[in-house]
Amino acid sequence: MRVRGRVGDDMPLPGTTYEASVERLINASPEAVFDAFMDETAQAEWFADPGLTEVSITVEPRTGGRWDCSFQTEGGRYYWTGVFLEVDRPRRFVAEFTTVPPDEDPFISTMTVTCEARGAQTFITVTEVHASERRRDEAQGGIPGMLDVVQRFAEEASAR
Amino acid sequence: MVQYSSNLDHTLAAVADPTRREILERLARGPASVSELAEPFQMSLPGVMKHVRILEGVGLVETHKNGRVRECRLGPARLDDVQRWVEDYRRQWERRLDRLEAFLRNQQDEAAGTAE
Repeated sequence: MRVRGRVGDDMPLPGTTYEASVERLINASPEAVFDAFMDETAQAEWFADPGLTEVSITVEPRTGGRWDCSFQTEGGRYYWTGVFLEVDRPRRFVAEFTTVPPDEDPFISTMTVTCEARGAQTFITVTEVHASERRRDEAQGGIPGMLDVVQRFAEEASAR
Repeated sequence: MVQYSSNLDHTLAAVADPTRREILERLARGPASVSELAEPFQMSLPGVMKHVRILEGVGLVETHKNGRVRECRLGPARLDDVQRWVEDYRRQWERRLDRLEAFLRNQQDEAAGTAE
């Protein structure tokens, strides 16, 4: 697990991103693991936590395609709206998405998933780089570099 | 889909700076004046004070004036927020990968059953 961050030279908050990742060796081919992310029916079976209701998933497995998910929680409806920045079956995909929890600040994330063949198994790495929606608004409002930082972290993550 | 609080946002931003992390590491060894904190850095006292204020703002550091000296010490442990986020993230993805593995096992079992 890694957490990274970066802060602008003279501002306490804008420009910060942070990163976390998990890794696992899975007893399946990279194609099977990759397709479990890219197939709506498959994803509906494992991606959302059990007990969530009214789960809706849309996956368009191509660069520029949508990756949307929403479900009902006790506190309200949770929305996840994303777009695939890169889809390279079965090696890796990169998606940027915005999540809007019912009782928390919205935030944006970039997720990179890599699937590496290890014999008959697959070593999967899932890396997420987070930045809040407010930060994105600040960046678009004149604080440069935040999205560059997100992209750089995503590239660094994908290079590992 | 990991949820986190705006407090965590602020805390992560505060500890993302290497100078501030060094200040926290120094204060973990005991209270220090702003001058003592400034010693390892090529930085003015106001510059160090700016970092201290940011850490103070998120509750990681407390300061009080003792005569002409401002003494700094670690504040309430808001770094717990960071640890909580990391743990939440890890747990969520570990559970998700458990479900992914189970899903793939079922797929393989079904495929094997079909082939028989």
